Amino acid sequence: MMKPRRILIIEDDAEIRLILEMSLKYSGGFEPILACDGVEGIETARREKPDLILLDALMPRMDGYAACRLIKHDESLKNIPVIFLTAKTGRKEIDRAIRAGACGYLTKPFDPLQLAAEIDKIVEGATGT
Amino acid sequence: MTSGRGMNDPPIAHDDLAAADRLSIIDGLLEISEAIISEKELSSALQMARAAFLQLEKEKTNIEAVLAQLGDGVVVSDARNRVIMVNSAAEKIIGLAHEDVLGMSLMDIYPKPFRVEVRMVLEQLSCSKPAAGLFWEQNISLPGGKVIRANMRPVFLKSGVFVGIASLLQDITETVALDEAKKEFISTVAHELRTPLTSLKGSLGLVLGGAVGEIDPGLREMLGIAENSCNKLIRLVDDMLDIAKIEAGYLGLEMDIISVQDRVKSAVDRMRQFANERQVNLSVKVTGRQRKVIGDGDRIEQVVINLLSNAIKFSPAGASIEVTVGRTGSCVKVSVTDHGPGIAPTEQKKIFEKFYRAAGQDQPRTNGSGLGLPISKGIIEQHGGKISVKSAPGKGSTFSFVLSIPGEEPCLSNE
Repeated sequence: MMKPRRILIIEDDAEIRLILEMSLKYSGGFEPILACDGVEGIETARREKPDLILLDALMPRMDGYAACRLIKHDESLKNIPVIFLTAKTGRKEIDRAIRAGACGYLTKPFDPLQLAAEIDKIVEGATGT
Repeated sequence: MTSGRGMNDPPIAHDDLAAADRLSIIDGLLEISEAIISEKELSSALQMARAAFLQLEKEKTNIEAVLAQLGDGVVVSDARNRVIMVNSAAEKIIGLAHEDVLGMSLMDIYPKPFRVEVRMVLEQLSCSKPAAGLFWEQNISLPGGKVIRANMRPVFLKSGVFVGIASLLQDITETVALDEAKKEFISTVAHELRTPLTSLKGSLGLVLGGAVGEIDPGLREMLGIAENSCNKLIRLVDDMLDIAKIEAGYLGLEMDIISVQDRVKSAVDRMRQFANERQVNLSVKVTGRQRKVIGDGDRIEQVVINLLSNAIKFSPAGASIEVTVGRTGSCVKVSVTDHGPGIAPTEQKKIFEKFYRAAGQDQPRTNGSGLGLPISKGIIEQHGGKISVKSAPGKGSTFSFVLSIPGEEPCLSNE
């Protein structure tokens, strides 16, 4: 049996964090790790070295764009794929996330039973696996 | 008698007087001087010229007084693009005093990054013909944050001779700021509405999906109703945001070269389950050689889905809906035809208005936000296309839209 991938969820809304955690655990393919803002997210990423990061855009202390740029400039983290998951759906916000180094973009509200498949699709597209 | 010029030097060489005006006065004096035969007549002629000049000065003063009252900046330049008139609003916008602006090259009143473009525009405008109605309009950001809309038009005499450029400068800083605030508001509302909907949809989806254990059938049915309502709410929020974006003029289309028939087929595939549930048959017919258009594929698909959704909702069980994709002149035309109750002529004019929900013949108004058709209209119009309806009560309706094929004349009609 394949070992579940460790996914860092950086999301400030506690309810959505819980739904994401349950959704990804339920899919069976992921082992979620949680952080509630960009600053905690970077610290957790450095400590845990996850396989993948799911990142909200608007958060207190440090937003997702800044966090993504820091991740992509950190030698120990830069190869971890980052996917944005946000309620911001405008073209400008999507471009901003991609410019910050994200490999994909998912929007809220999401289907909790389809989330794992959507993440896989983005990672496959980005890595060619 | 010789020419009267040089005798008393009438005050016609006023610096502020346009070259054309000076010439016409001098020409007038020459004509008079050639005709006069006595000093008395010369004196009378000069008095007439003086009176004419004073009248001209008075009219110029009046024009300047009117221009001074205008809230928008006005700059007039001569045929050599030298500024000959500027009002106080323009002085404020440009940030230079009247005496500094007069005589300046028109090009130099614009910020450096725009000067090359302005020079090219001035060359074009000065060579144009009055009938061409050529003009140039551009929003310009000035240092310090001010934004102006500049509009330049050539000025011609009745004879068609080009005499200069009239420029209108409008300070649109507040309008631009307001537009930005509106966009920011829409973006914030979108975020604030989607966040609780995410929790709601996520929780219901997980419970119904069995992530928290088995649930009894009665509870499942109730949660299913809640999930359906949640999805309707999400669609309503998306529709309202789309309408707000269309009205704010920034739908943010992602333009690409797209195959219309591929997008239509994809939309039909996505709507097939809904059609099956309603026992309605969907068919697609593609005619003629197809061409690609420049457009936002997802948005075009959204329009076809909106049209199909309405057609399915209004069709009785067992009816069919035909979708056709073909060429009409220089355009690609997509039509969705249903055999439902049709739309009364009085309602046909209103169905593209937001929140308007048509009632079918002898049928109550349908459920829905009444935003699908206005959104579709907004999307098609922002693509430079047109959307229309033909309907006969009791027989059904055909909704069509046309999109121009690149490199060909834009569609003026969707017939």
